[in-house]
Amino acid sequence: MWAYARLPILAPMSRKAESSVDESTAPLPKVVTFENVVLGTAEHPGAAPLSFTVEQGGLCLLAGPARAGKSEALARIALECGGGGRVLLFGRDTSRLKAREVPLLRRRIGRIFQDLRLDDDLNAFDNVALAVRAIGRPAQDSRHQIAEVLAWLGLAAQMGKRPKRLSNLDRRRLAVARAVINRPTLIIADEPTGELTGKAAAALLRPLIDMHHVGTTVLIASRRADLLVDAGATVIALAPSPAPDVAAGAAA
Amino acid sequence: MSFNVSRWRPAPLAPRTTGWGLWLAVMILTLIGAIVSILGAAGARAVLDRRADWDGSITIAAMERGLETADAAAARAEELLRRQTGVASVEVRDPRRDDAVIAGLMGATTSGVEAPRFIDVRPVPGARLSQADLAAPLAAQGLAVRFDDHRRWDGPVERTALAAGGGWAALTVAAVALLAGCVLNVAGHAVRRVRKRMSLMISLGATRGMLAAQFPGPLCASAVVGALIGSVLAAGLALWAAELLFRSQAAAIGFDRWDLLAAAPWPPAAALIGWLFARLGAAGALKRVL
Repeated sequence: MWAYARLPILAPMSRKAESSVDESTAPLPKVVTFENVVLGTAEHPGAAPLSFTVEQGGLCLLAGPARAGKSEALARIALECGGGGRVLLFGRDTSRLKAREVPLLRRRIGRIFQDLRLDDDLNAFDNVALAVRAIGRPAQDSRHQIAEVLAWLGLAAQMGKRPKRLSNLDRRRLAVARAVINRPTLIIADEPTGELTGKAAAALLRPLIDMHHVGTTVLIASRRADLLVDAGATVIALAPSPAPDVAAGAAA
Repeated sequence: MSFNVSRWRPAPLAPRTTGWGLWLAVMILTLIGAIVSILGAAGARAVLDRRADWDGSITIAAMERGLETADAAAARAEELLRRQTGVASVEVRDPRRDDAVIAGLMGATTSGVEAPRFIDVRPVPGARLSQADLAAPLAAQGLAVRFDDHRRWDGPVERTALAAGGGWAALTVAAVALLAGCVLNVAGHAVRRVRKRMSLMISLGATRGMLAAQFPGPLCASAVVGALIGSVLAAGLALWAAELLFRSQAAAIGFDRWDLLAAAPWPPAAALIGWLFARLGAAGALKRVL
């Protein structure tokens, strides 16, 4: 991280608090709040109603076995589907958003998809530029920032390559680069390490943890409950059981 | 080869090419539309010319009788008609012009044939001058004349002009509608080709309007190229057809090369239609597929 400490995306994120309030004692703004959220469908109900809160700057792991509803929970946060219960995103009730507000909130989220969703018709650089263009910024003005982020993630030599020519680790790094390039307030990652383990998984998670250290809220969904054990993440355990086991400190 | 960040340009989000389909369809439709426009312009000009020539006028054909030639009869008739109340002007036509028309239509020389001489009479506007008013003094002087009152052609000419104008408008509207339909269809197809990319962009915070704006450029370019080729082809075809059909009747019917300018609005019109309907088609397709 140190070589890239001056990267714009690694500049410490300021808290949106009133100047008259002592930041050390003021409650942190809530980025994501789940209130009795029901995952799954009526025919195939998942876990029991889920409630938790993720505060600004938090690092959370949504852990659970396959089909526990992790991806659906992230999709609810990303405003891609509705359902039972109440989801608050940046303090806004997602069920009451106007259509024109949805893209604006999505722009504050950096996403890493389970299937990565990289565009094989574009090179690595253009894949990252998609995120910049999606928020309406001229990508050409951000090209040096894109290059810096790709270099930070170890993809300096891969910028011109298409994703299908990259290794599994590099493809995942590319997905991370696309998620962080706009310096989002919240990063949500669905199984970012995939089948990677050990040093490869750690190398992939390092940039996300770095982002957390500079104030970005990071929420990772994974089958592995021990994925972020060394990083001090709050673990929200999901299971297809009547009640989710919410770790201390994260329960609403 | 290493990647050069400084020379990087964002890749197009919409497909780079729209294939031959749109290009070819626009070319064919523009060819038809431009030919119709050229014919419409030529027709409108012909109608205006005829209207100007004939409007409220009467042509009198003076024939030879006995020892009096047609030229002499025409001169006498002109003298008599000038004195007639309600006549604004009298003009004996240039015999060479009439001979050229007759020679063009008959395809043979008229030398040795005694052709009638034509006199154009224009009544004072508003004067109720009838054929009988003019015929009486001429008959009294023993002149052999025939009358062609152009006013009886006004109705048919107007009806023909109206029908031709209606046909031109209908064909133009049909060509424009087909063009718009082609662009809509190709825009929808282009969106479906990059559906995954569009879906990703929406997930990353893009709006449908932003994405729809990516499609008109390439489609518009294809439409303009097709329209340019179609218009030039139409102008060439019209010139060739005019040369072939009207060569022997140039003096009577004529084909003005300025009429070819009627094809000129098609490329900018195709660009406008291409841009507008590509945008609409892309927006509609994005709404359907996302």
